[in-house]
Amino acid sequence: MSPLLEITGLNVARSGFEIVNNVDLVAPAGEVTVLLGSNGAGKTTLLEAVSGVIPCAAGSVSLEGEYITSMRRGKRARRGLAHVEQGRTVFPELTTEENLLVAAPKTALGPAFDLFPSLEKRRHVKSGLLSGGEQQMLVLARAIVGSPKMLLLDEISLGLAPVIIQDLMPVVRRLADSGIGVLLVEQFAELALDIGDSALVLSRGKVVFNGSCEKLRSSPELLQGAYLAGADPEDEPAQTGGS
Amino acid sequence: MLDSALSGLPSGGAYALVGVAVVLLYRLAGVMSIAVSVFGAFGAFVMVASFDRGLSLGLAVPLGIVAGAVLSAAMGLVMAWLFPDSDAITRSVVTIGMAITLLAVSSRLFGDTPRSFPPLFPGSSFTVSGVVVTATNVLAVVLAIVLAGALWLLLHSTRIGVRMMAMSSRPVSAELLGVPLGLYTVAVWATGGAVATIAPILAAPTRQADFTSLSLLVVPGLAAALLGAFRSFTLTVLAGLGIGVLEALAVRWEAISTYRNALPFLVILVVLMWAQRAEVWDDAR
Repeated sequence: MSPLLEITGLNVARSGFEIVNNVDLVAPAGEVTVLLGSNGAGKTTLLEAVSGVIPCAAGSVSLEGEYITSMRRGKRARRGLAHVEQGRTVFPELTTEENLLVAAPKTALGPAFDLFPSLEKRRHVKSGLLSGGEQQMLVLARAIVGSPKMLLLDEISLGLAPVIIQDLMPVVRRLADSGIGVLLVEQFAELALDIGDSALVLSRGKVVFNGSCEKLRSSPELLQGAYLAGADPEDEPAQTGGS
Repeated sequence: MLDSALSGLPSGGAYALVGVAVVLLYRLAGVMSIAVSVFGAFGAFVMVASFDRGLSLGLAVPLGIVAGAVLSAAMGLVMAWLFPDSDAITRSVVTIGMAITLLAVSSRLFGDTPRSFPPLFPGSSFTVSGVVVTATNVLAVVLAIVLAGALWLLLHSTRIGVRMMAMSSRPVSAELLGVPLGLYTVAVWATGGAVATIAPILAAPTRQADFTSLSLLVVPGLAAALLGAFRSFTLTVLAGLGIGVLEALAVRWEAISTYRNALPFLVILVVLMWAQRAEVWDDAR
Protein backbone atom coordinates (compact mmCIF):
# COMPACT_ATOMS: atom_id res chain seq x y z
CA MET A 1 0.00 0.00 0.00
CA SER A 2 1.20 3.54 -0.75
CA PRO A 3 2.00 5.81 2.21
CA LEU A 4 -1.02 8.10 2.24
CA LEU A 5 0.11 9.94 5.35
CA GLU A 6 3.79 10.20 6.14
CA ILE A 7 5.21 11.81 9.25
CA THR A 8 8.95 12.28 9.53
CA GLY A 9 10.96 13.41 12.56
CA LEU A 10 7.98 15.23 14.05
CA ASN A 11 8.48 17.33 17.17
CA VAL A 12 5.56 19.14 18.79
CA ALA A 13 5.64 21.37 21.85
CA ARG A 14 2.95 22.85 24.08
CA SER A 15 3.76 25.84 26.29
CA GLY A 16 7.47 25.24 25.69
CA PHE A 17 7.33 21.57 26.72
CA GLU A 18 8.15 18.98 24.11
CA ILE A 19 5.20 16.59 23.93
CA VAL A 20 6.00 14.68 20.73
CA ASN A 21 9.62 13.83 20.07
CA ASN A 22 11.06 12.75 16.74
CA VAL A 23 8.12 10.61 15.64
CA ASP A 24 8.14 8.79 12.30
CA LEU A 25 4.89 7.28 11.11
CA VAL A 26 3.49 5.92 7.88
CA ALA A 27 -0.26 5.37 7.47
CA PRO A 28 -1.22 3.68 4.18
CA ALA A 29 -4.56 3.98 2.40
CA GLY A 30 -7.04 1.21 3.18
CA GLU A 31 -5.46 0.38 6.53
CA VAL A 32 -6.20 1.15 10.16
CA THR A 33 -3.05 2.36 11.91
CA VAL A 34 -3.57 2.20 15.65
CA LEU A 35 -1.83 4.69 17.93
CA LEU A 36 -1.66 3.58 21.54
CA GLY A 37 -0.10 4.94 24.68
CA SER A 38 -0.87 5.89 28.27
CA ASN A 39 -2.44 9.20 29.27
CA GLY A 40 -0.15 12.08 28.42
CA ALA A 41 1.92 10.04 25.96
CA GLY A 42 1.31 12.61 23.21
CA LYS A 43 -1.29 10.83 21.04
CA THR A 44 -3.80 13.70 20.84
CA THR A 45 -0.99 16.23 20.38
CA LEU A 46 0.34 14.19 17.46
CA LEU A 47 -3.07 14.12 15.74
CA GLU A 48 -3.53 17.85 16.34
CA ALA A 49 -0.16 18.59 14.76
CA VAL A 50 -1.05 16.46 11.73
CA SER A 51 -4.35 18.29 11.16
CA GLY A 52 -2.88 21.71 11.95
CA VAL A 53 -4.72 22.45 15.20
CA ILE A 54 -1.30 23.14 16.73
CA PRO A 55 1.93 23.91 14.88
CA CYS A 56 4.83 21.50 14.48
CA ALA A 57 8.15 22.52 16.07
CA ALA A 58 10.18 20.38 13.66
CA GLY A 59 9.76 17.58 11.14
CA SER A 60 7.33 17.16 8.29
CA VAL A 61 3.87 15.84 7.52
CA SER A 62 2.88 14.87 3.99
CA LEU A 63 -0.38 13.69 2.49
CA GLU A 64 -0.14 11.79 -0.80
CA GLY A 65 3.42 13.07 -1.15
CA GLU A 66 2.46 16.73 -0.70
CA TYR A 67 3.95 18.58 2.28
CA ILE A 68 1.15 19.93 4.44
CA THR A 69 3.24 20.81 7.50
CA SER A 70 2.60 24.56 7.36
CA MET A 71 -0.68 24.47 5.45
CA ARG A 72 -3.77 26.01 7.12
CA ARG A 73 -6.07 23.43 8.65
CA GLY A 74 -8.98 24.28 6.35
CA LYS A 75 -6.76 23.65 3.35
CA ARG A 76 -5.53 20.35 4.79
CA ALA A 77 -9.18 19.35 5.21
CA ARG A 78 -9.93 20.25 1.60
CA ARG A 79 -6.93 18.11 0.57
CA GLY A 80 -8.70 15.10 2.12
CA LEU A 81 -7.57 15.05 5.75
CA ALA A 82 -10.40 14.67 8.27
CA HIS A 83 -9.83 14.93 12.01
CA VAL A 84 -12.47 13.70 14.43
CA GLU A 85 -11.48 15.48 17.62
CA GLN A 86 -11.78 14.11 21.10
CA GLY A 87 -14.93 15.01 23.01
CA ARG A 88 -17.84 14.78 20.52
CA THR A 89 -17.45 18.23 19.01
CA VAL A 90 -20.90 18.69 17.50
CA PHE A 91 -22.20 22.19 16.77
CA PRO A 92 -24.91 22.03 19.46
CA GLU A 93 -27.17 24.77 18.06
CA LEU A 94 -27.32 23.10 14.65
CA THR A 95 -29.47 20.09 13.81
CA THR A 96 -28.02 16.72 12.82
CA GLU A 97 -28.52 17.54 9.13
CA GLU A 98 -27.01 21.02 9.50
CA ASN A 99 -23.95 19.53 11.21
CA LEU A 100 -23.47 17.33 8.16
CA LEU A 101 -24.06 20.28 5.80
CA VAL A 102 -21.05 22.01 7.32
CA ALA A 103 -18.89 19.30 5.78
CA ALA A 104 -20.73 18.53 2.53
CA PRO A 105 -23.65 19.64 0.33
CA LYS A 106 -27.08 18.06 0.83
CA THR A 107 -26.65 15.72 -2.14
CA ALA A 108 -23.63 14.10 -0.47
CA LEU A 109 -25.24 13.26 2.88
CA GLY A 110 -26.48 9.79 1.84
CA PRO A 111 -23.43 7.82 3.05
CA ALA A 112 -23.82 9.28 6.54
CA PHE A 113 -27.32 7.88 6.93
CA ASP A 114 -26.36 4.59 5.25
CA LEU A 115 -23.58 4.16 7.79
CA PHE A 116 -25.63 5.29 10.79
CA PRO A 117 -29.36 4.75 10.03
CA SER A 118 -30.32 5.88 13.53
CA LEU A 119 -29.16 9.41 12.66
CA GLU A 120 -31.77 9.62 9.90
CA LYS A 121 -34.58 9.64 12.50
CA ARG A 122 -32.81 12.43 14.38
CA ARG A 123 -32.16 14.44 11.23
CA HIS A 124 -33.94 17.60 12.37
CA VAL A 125 -33.07 17.40 16.07
CA LYS A 126 -30.56 19.89 17.46
CA SER A 127 -27.33 17.97 17.91
CA GLY A 128 -26.89 19.32 21.43
CA LEU A 129 -29.94 17.23 22.38
CA LEU A 130 -28.62 13.93 20.94
CA SER A 131 -27.33 11.14 23.18
CA GLY A 132 -23.57 10.73 23.61
CA GLY A 133 -23.53 7.79 21.22
CA GLU A 134 -25.54 9.65 18.59
CA GLN A 135 -23.26 12.67 18.89
CA GLN A 136 -20.21 10.45 18.34
CA MET A 137 -21.86 8.86 15.31
CA LEU A 138 -22.63 12.35 14.03
CA VAL A 139 -19.05 13.63 14.28
CA LEU A 140 -17.83 10.48 12.57
CA ALA A 141 -20.50 10.79 9.86
CA ARG A 142 -19.65 14.50 9.48
CA ALA A 143 -16.04 13.61 8.77
CA ILE A 144 -17.02 10.93 6.26
CA VAL A 145 -19.46 12.94 4.11
CA GLY A 146 -16.55 15.19 3.15
CA SER A 147 -15.09 12.15 1.29
CA PRO A 148 -11.77 12.14 3.14
CA LYS A 149 -8.73 10.22 2.04
CA MET A 150 -7.24 10.11 5.53
CA LEU A 151 -9.22 9.97 8.75
CA LEU A 152 -7.73 10.86 12.14
CA LEU A 153 -9.86 9.47 14.97
CA ASP A 154 -9.16 10.60 18.51
CA GLU A 155 -10.67 8.44 21.26
CA ILE A 156 -14.05 8.01 19.62
CA SER A 157 -15.02 5.60 22.42
CA LEU A 158 -14.49 8.14 25.19
CA GLY A 159 -17.46 8.21 27.58
CA LEU A 160 -19.59 5.83 25.50
CA ALA A 161 -21.39 2.66 26.58
CA PRO A 162 -19.53 -0.57 25.64
CA VAL A 163 -22.36 -1.65 23.34
CA ILE A 164 -22.03 1.54 21.30
CA ILE A 165 -18.25 1.23 21.12
CA GLN A 166 -18.63 -2.30 19.77
CA ASP A 167 -20.93 -0.89 17.05
CA LEU A 168 -18.52 1.91 16.14
CA MET A 169 -15.36 -0.14 15.73
CA PRO A 170 -16.60 -2.28 12.79
CA VAL A 171 -17.66 0.94 11.07
CA VAL A 172 -14.08 2.17 11.31
CA ARG A 173 -12.87 -1.10 9.76
CA ARG A 174 -15.40 -0.81 6.94
CA LEU A 175 -14.21 2.72 6.21
CA ALA A 176 -10.64 1.51 5.88
CA ASP A 177 -11.78 -1.36 3.67
CA SER A 178 -13.38 1.21 1.38
CA GLY A 179 -9.93 2.71 0.78
CA ILE A 180 -9.70 5.44 3.42
CA GLY A 181 -6.54 5.56 5.53
CA VAL A 182 -7.34 5.61 9.26
CA LEU A 183 -5.10 6.72 12.11
CA LEU A 184 -6.91 5.59 15.25
CA VAL A 185 -6.08 6.78 18.74
CA GLU A 186 -7.91 4.58 21.19
CA GLN A 187 -7.96 3.94 24.93
CA PHE A 188 -9.37 0.44 24.54
CA ALA A 189 -6.27 -1.17 23.11
CA GLU A 190 -7.81 -4.60 22.62
CA LEU A 191 -10.74 -3.32 20.55
CA ALA A 192 -8.47 -1.14 18.44
CA LEU A 193 -6.00 -3.95 17.81
CA ASP A 194 -8.86 -6.21 16.72
CA ILE A 195 -9.69 -3.95 13.78
CA GLY A 196 -6.21 -2.51 13.15
CA ASP A 197 -3.49 -3.50 10.69
CA SER A 198 -0.41 -1.87 12.18
CA ALA A 199 0.21 -0.24 15.53
CA LEU A 200 2.48 2.27 17.18
CA VAL A 201 2.87 2.78 20.89
CA LEU A 202 3.89 6.20 22.16
CA SER A 203 5.49 6.76 25.51
CA ARG A 204 6.44 10.27 26.64
CA GLY A 205 6.20 11.46 23.08
CA LYS A 206 8.47 8.80 21.59
CA VAL A 207 7.62 5.74 19.53
CA VAL A 208 8.50 2.70 21.63
CA PHE A 209 6.79 0.10 19.42
CA ASN A 210 6.09 0.01 15.72
CA GLY A 211 4.77 -3.21 14.24
CA SER A 212 1.71 -5.22 13.35
CA CYS A 213 -1.45 -5.27 15.45
CA GLU A 214 -1.36 -9.05 15.32
CA LYS A 215 2.02 -9.10 17.04
CA LEU A 216 0.74 -6.90 19.87
CA ARG A 217 -2.50 -8.90 20.11
CA SER A 218 -0.73 -12.21 20.43
CA SER A 219 1.70 -11.05 23.08
CA PRO A 220 0.04 -8.80 25.69
CA GLU A 221 3.30 -8.64 27.61
CA LEU A 222 4.80 -6.80 24.63
CA LEU A 223 2.01 -4.22 24.81
CA GLN A 224 2.39 -3.87 28.57
CA GLY A 225 6.14 -3.46 28.17
CA ALA A 226 5.72 -0.88 25.42
CA TYR A 227 3.27 1.12 27.55
CA LEU A 228 5.59 1.09 30.53
CA ALA A 229 8.75 1.90 28.57
CA GLY A 230 10.09 5.13 29.97
CA ALA A 231 7.02 5.68 32.14
CA ASP A 232 6.97 6.52 35.83
CA PRO A 233 5.85 3.62 38.04
CA GLU A 234 2.69 5.55 39.02
CA ASP A 235 1.65 6.07 35.38
CA GLU A 236 -1.50 4.25 34.34
CA PRO A 237 -0.94 0.90 32.62
CA ALA A 238 -2.66 0.00 29.37
CA GLN A 239 -6.42 -0.50 29.43
CA THR A 240 -6.51 -3.73 27.57
CA GLY A 241 -10.11 -4.50 28.53
CA GLY A 242 -12.58 -4.21 25.73
CA SER A 243 -15.44 -3.03 27.89
CA MET B 1 -48.24 62.75 18.64
CA LEU B 2 -48.20 60.24 15.79
CA ASP B 3 -46.24 62.77 13.73
CA SER B 4 -43.60 62.90 16.45
CA ALA B 5 -43.45 59.13 16.69
CA LEU B 6 -43.01 58.79 12.90
CA SER B 7 -40.25 61.40 12.90
CA GLY B 8 -38.24 59.00 15.07
CA LEU B 9 -38.32 56.26 12.46
CA PRO B 10 -35.19 57.26 10.46
CA SER B 11 -33.18 57.30 13.68
CA GLY B 12 -34.88 54.13 14.83
CA GLY B 13 -34.10 52.42 11.53
CA ALA B 14 -30.47 53.48 11.90
CA TYR B 15 -30.32 52.14 15.46
CA ALA B 16 -31.89 48.91 14.25
CA LEU B 17 -29.34 48.53 11.45
CA VAL B 18 -26.35 49.23 13.72
CA GLY B 19 -27.88 46.76 16.18
CA VAL B 20 -28.21 44.15 13.41
CA ALA B 21 -24.54 44.72 12.44
CA VAL B 22 -23.50 44.31 16.10
CA VAL B 23 -25.54 41.09 16.47
CA LEU B 24 -24.16 39.75 13.18
CA LEU B 25 -20.56 40.30 14.24
CA TYR B 26 -21.20 39.00 17.74
CA ARG B 27 -22.91 35.83 16.52
CA LEU B 28 -20.66 35.01 13.60
CA ALA B 29 -17.29 36.60 14.33
CA GLY B 30 -17.45 36.32 18.13
CA VAL B 31 -16.65 40.01 18.59
CA MET B 32 -18.45 42.74 20.49
CA SER B 33 -17.60 45.30 17.86
CA ILE B 34 -17.88 48.93 18.85
CA ALA B 35 -15.82 49.77 15.78
CA VAL B 36 -18.53 48.80 13.32
CA SER B 37 -20.38 52.12 13.60
CA VAL B 38 -17.08 53.97 13.10
CA PHE B 39 -16.66 52.07 9.82
CA GLY B 40 -20.25 53.03 9.05
CA ALA B 41 -19.59 56.69 9.79
CA PHE B 42 -16.49 56.55 7.58
CA GLY B 43 -18.54 55.10 4.72
CA ALA B 44 -21.21 57.76 5.22
CA PHE B 45 -18.60 60.52 5.10
CA VAL B 46 -17.10 59.04 1.91
CA MET B 47 -20.62 59.19 0.51
CA VAL B 48 -21.23 62.83 1.49
CA ALA B 49 -17.74 63.91 0.37
CA SER B 50 -18.31 62.31 -3.06
CA PHE B 51 -21.77 63.89 -3.28
CA ASP B 52 -20.31 67.31 -2.41
CA ARG B 53 -17.77 66.85 -5.21
CA GLY B 54 -20.58 66.41 -7.71
CA LEU B 55 -21.19 62.67 -7.77
CA SER B 56 -24.88 61.82 -8.06
CA LEU B 57 -26.64 60.47 -4.98
CA GLY B 58 -27.34 57.21 -6.83
CA LEU B 59 -23.58 56.62 -7.15
CA ALA B 60 -22.41 58.28 -3.93
CA VAL B 61 -24.56 56.05 -1.70
CA PRO B 62 -23.25 52.72 -3.10
CA LEU B 63 -19.71 54.15 -3.04
CA GLY B 64 -20.11 55.01 0.65
CA ILE B 65 -21.53 51.57 1.44
CA VAL B 66 -18.64 49.90 -0.41
CA ALA B 67 -16.13 52.10 1.48
CA GLY B 68 -17.63 51.10 4.85
CA ALA B 69 -17.69 47.45 3.81
CA VAL B 70 -14.08 47.48 2.56
CA LEU B 71 -12.81 49.13 5.74
CA SER B 72 -14.71 46.63 7.86
CA ALA B 73 -13.46 43.76 5.66
CA ALA B 74 -9.90 44.98 6.29
CA MET B 75 -10.61 44.66 10.01
CA GLY B 76 -11.91 41.14 9.36
CA LEU B 77 -8.71 40.36 7.48
CA VAL B 78 -6.62 41.52 10.45
CA MET B 79 -8.78 39.32 12.72
CA ALA B 80 -8.51 36.27 10.47
CA TRP B 81 -4.80 36.73 9.88
CA LEU B 82 -3.45 37.83 13.25
CA PHE B 83 -6.06 36.78 15.81
CA PRO B 84 -7.67 33.57 14.49
CA ASP B 85 -7.39 31.71 17.78
CA SER B 86 -7.69 34.64 20.20
CA ASP B 87 -10.49 34.85 22.74
CA ALA B 88 -13.48 37.18 22.42
CA ILE B 89 -12.08 39.77 24.83
CA THR B 90 -8.79 40.11 22.94
CA ARG B 91 -10.61 40.47 19.62
CA SER B 92 -13.04 43.01 21.04
CA VAL B 93 -10.16 45.07 22.47
CA VAL B 94 -8.48 45.02 19.04
CA THR B 95 -11.63 46.46 17.47
CA ILE B 96 -11.74 49.21 20.13
CA GLY B 97 -8.12 50.10 19.29
CA MET B 98 -9.04 50.18 15.61
CA ALA B 99 -12.08 52.38 16.34
CA ILE B 100 -10.00 54.93 18.27
CA THR B 101 -7.36 55.02 15.52
CA LEU B 102 -9.99 55.51 12.84
CA LEU B 103 -11.71 58.26 14.85
CA ALA B 104 -8.39 60.13 14.99
CA VAL B 105 -7.64 59.60 11.30
CA SER B 106 -11.17 60.61 10.28
CA SER B 107 -11.11 63.82 12.31
CA ARG B 108 -8.03 64.78 10.25
CA LEU B 109 -9.64 63.72 7.00
CA PHE B 110 -13.16 65.04 7.45
CA GLY B 111 -12.79 67.61 10.26
CA ASP B 112 -15.00 67.96 13.34
CA THR B 113 -17.67 70.21 11.92
CA PRO B 114 -21.10 68.74 11.18
CA ARG B 115 -21.78 68.06 7.50
CA SER B 116 -25.00 68.53 5.66
CA PHE B 117 -26.19 65.15 4.43
CA PRO B 118 -28.63 65.03 1.52
CA PRO B 119 -31.97 63.33 2.22
CA LEU B 120 -32.32 60.14 0.19
CA PHE B 121 -35.80 61.07 -1.09
CA PRO B 122 -36.09 64.86 -0.85
CA GLY B 123 -39.65 66.10 -0.50
CA SER B 124 -41.34 62.74 -1.08
CA SER B 125 -44.16 62.30 1.39
CA PHE B 126 -47.78 61.26 1.63
CA THR B 127 -50.56 61.67 4.16
CA VAL B 128 -52.35 58.86 5.98
CA SER B 129 -55.31 59.89 8.15
CA GLY B 130 -53.92 63.38 8.49
CA VAL B 131 -50.43 62.20 9.46
CA VAL B 132 -47.57 63.10 7.13
CA VAL B 133 -45.39 60.11 6.29
CA THR B 134 -42.12 60.79 4.48
CA ALA B 135 -40.45 58.37 2.09
CA THR B 136 -37.41 58.32 4.40
CA ASN B 137 -39.62 57.15 7.29
CA VAL B 138 -40.93 54.27 5.21
CA LEU B 139 -37.47 53.44 3.85
CA ALA B 140 -36.01 53.33 7.36
CA VAL B 141 -38.51 50.73 8.50
CA VAL B 142 -38.46 48.73 5.27
CA LEU B 143 -34.65 48.65 5.06
CA ALA B 144 -34.23 47.55 8.67
CA ILE B 145 -36.79 44.76 8.25
CA VAL B 146 -35.61 43.63 4.80
CA LEU B 147 -31.91 43.57 5.69
CA ALA B 148 -32.50 41.76 8.99
CA GLY B 149 -34.82 39.31 7.19
CA ALA B 150 -32.25 38.71 4.45
CA LEU B 151 -29.53 37.98 7.00
CA TRP B 152 -31.85 35.63 8.90
CA LEU B 153 -32.63 33.79 5.66
CA LEU B 154 -28.94 33.59 4.76
CA LEU B 155 -28.12 32.05 8.13
CA HIS B 156 -31.00 29.61 8.34
CA SER B 157 -31.71 28.61 4.76
CA THR B 158 -28.36 28.39 3.02
CA ARG B 159 -25.35 26.15 3.43
CA ILE B 160 -23.09 29.19 3.72
CA GLY B 161 -25.20 30.39 6.65
CA VAL B 162 -25.02 27.00 8.36
CA ARG B 163 -21.25 26.94 7.89
CA MET B 164 -21.01 30.47 9.29
CA MET B 165 -22.98 29.45 12.37
CA ALA B 166 -20.71 26.41 12.78
CA MET B 167 -17.71 28.73 12.51
CA SER B 168 -19.04 30.89 15.33
CA SER B 169 -19.83 27.87 17.50
CA ARG B 170 -16.54 25.95 17.17
CA PRO B 171 -14.12 27.68 14.82
CA VAL B 172 -11.43 24.99 14.99
CA SER B 173 -13.87 22.13 14.40
CA ALA B 174 -15.46 24.05 11.52
CA GLU B 175 -12.09 24.66 9.91
CA LEU B 176 -11.19 20.99 10.30
CA LEU B 177 -14.28 20.28 8.18
CA GLY B 178 -12.98 22.52 5.41
CA VAL B 179 -14.79 25.77 6.26
CA PRO B 180 -12.62 28.61 4.89
CA LEU B 181 -12.48 30.54 8.16
CA GLY B 182 -10.51 33.51 6.83
CA LEU B 183 -12.78 34.09 3.84
CA TYR B 184 -15.97 33.79 5.90
CA THR B 185 -14.61 36.09 8.62
CA VAL B 186 -13.83 38.78 6.04
CA ALA B 187 -17.27 38.31 4.44
CA VAL B 188 -19.04 38.67 7.80
CA TRP B 189 -17.10 41.85 8.62
CA ALA B 190 -17.76 43.28 5.16
CA THR B 191 -21.51 42.62 5.52
CA GLY B 192 -21.52 44.17 9.01
CA GLY B 193 -19.68 47.23 7.67
CA ALA B 194 -22.11 47.64 4.77
CA VAL B 195 -25.17 47.40 7.03
CA ALA B 196 -23.61 49.80 9.53
CA THR B 197 -22.93 52.32 6.73
CA ILE B 198 -26.56 52.41 5.63
CA ALA B 199 -27.50 53.45 9.19
CA PRO B 200 -25.81 56.89 9.30
CA ILE B 201 -26.74 57.58 5.66
CA LEU B 202 -30.36 57.07 6.74
CA ALA B 203 -30.17 59.03 9.98
CA ALA B 204 -27.68 61.82 9.18
CA PRO B 205 -30.13 64.16 7.36
CA THR B 206 -32.29 64.36 10.51
CA ARG B 207 -29.61 64.85 13.19
CA GLN B 208 -26.28 66.47 14.00
CA ALA B 209 -23.92 64.86 11.54
CA ASP B 210 -20.31 65.22 12.62
CA PHE B 211 -18.10 62.14 12.48
CA THR B 212 -18.06 61.46 16.23
CA SER B 213 -21.84 61.78 16.59
CA LEU B 214 -22.45 59.34 13.75
CA SER B 215 -19.88 56.94 15.23
CA LEU B 216 -21.81 57.07 18.49
CA LEU B 217 -24.81 55.49 16.78
CA VAL B 218 -23.28 52.36 18.26
CA VAL B 219 -24.72 53.25 21.68
CA PRO B 220 -28.40 52.97 20.70
CA GLY B 221 -27.33 50.13 18.37
CA LEU B 222 -25.87 48.26 21.34
CA ALA B 223 -29.04 48.95 23.35
CA ALA B 224 -31.11 47.43 20.52
CA ALA B 225 -28.74 44.44 20.23
CA LEU B 226 -28.96 43.94 23.99
CA LEU B 227 -32.76 43.87 23.83
CA GLY B 228 -32.36 41.27 21.09
CA ALA B 229 -30.13 39.30 23.48
CA PHE B 230 -27.33 39.59 20.89
CA ARG B 231 -29.10 36.78 19.00
CA SER B 232 -32.43 37.80 17.54
CA PHE B 233 -32.47 40.04 14.47
CA THR B 234 -36.25 40.50 14.82
CA LEU B 235 -36.08 41.75 18.41
CA THR B 236 -33.08 43.93 17.59
CA VAL B 237 -34.95 45.63 14.73
CA LEU B 238 -38.07 46.15 16.87
CA ALA B 239 -35.96 47.49 19.73
CA GLY B 240 -34.02 49.87 17.46
CA LEU B 241 -37.21 51.26 15.93
CA GLY B 242 -38.76 51.50 19.40
CA ILE B 243 -35.83 53.46 20.83
CA GLY B 244 -35.95 55.84 17.85
CA VAL B 245 -39.68 56.44 18.34
CA LEU B 246 -39.33 56.90 22.11
CA GLU B 247 -36.53 59.44 21.58
CA ALA B 248 -38.73 61.38 19.16
CA LEU B 249 -41.68 61.29 21.53
CA ALA B 250 -39.48 62.57 24.37
CA VAL B 251 -39.08 65.85 22.45
CA ARG B 252 -42.72 66.63 23.24
CA TRP B 253 -42.10 66.80 26.97
CA GLU B 254 -39.85 69.71 27.79
CA ALA B 255 -38.84 68.31 31.19
CA ILE B 256 -37.25 65.21 29.67
CA SER B 257 -36.42 66.30 26.13
CA THR B 258 -32.97 67.53 27.19
CA TYR B 259 -32.15 64.02 28.38
CA ARG B 260 -33.56 62.11 25.42
CA ASN B 261 -30.09 61.23 24.11
CA ALA B 262 -29.48 59.35 27.35
CA LEU B 263 -32.40 57.03 26.57
CA PRO B 264 -30.21 54.26 25.04
CA PHE B 265 -28.03 54.27 28.16
CA LEU B 266 -31.18 54.01 30.29
CA VAL B 267 -32.33 51.05 28.19
CA ILE B 268 -28.93 49.34 28.59
CA LEU B 269 -28.99 49.96 32.35
CA VAL B 270 -32.52 48.64 32.82
CA VAL B 271 -31.86 45.53 30.68
CA LEU B 272 -28.63 44.72 32.50
CA MET B 273 -30.30 45.17 35.91
CA TRP B 274 -33.21 43.01 34.80
CA ALA B 275 -30.83 40.34 33.49
CA GLN B 276 -28.93 40.32 36.78
CA ARG B 277 -32.00 40.18 39.02
CA ALA B 278 -31.67 36.45 39.74
CA GLU B 279 -28.07 36.81 40.90
CA VAL B 280 -28.93 39.77 43.14
CA TRP B 281 -31.86 37.86 44.59
CA ASP B 282 -29.67 34.80 45.21
CA ASP B 283 -26.98 36.94 46.88
CA ALA B 284 -29.56 38.64 49.07
CA ARG B 285 -30.75 35.28 50.29
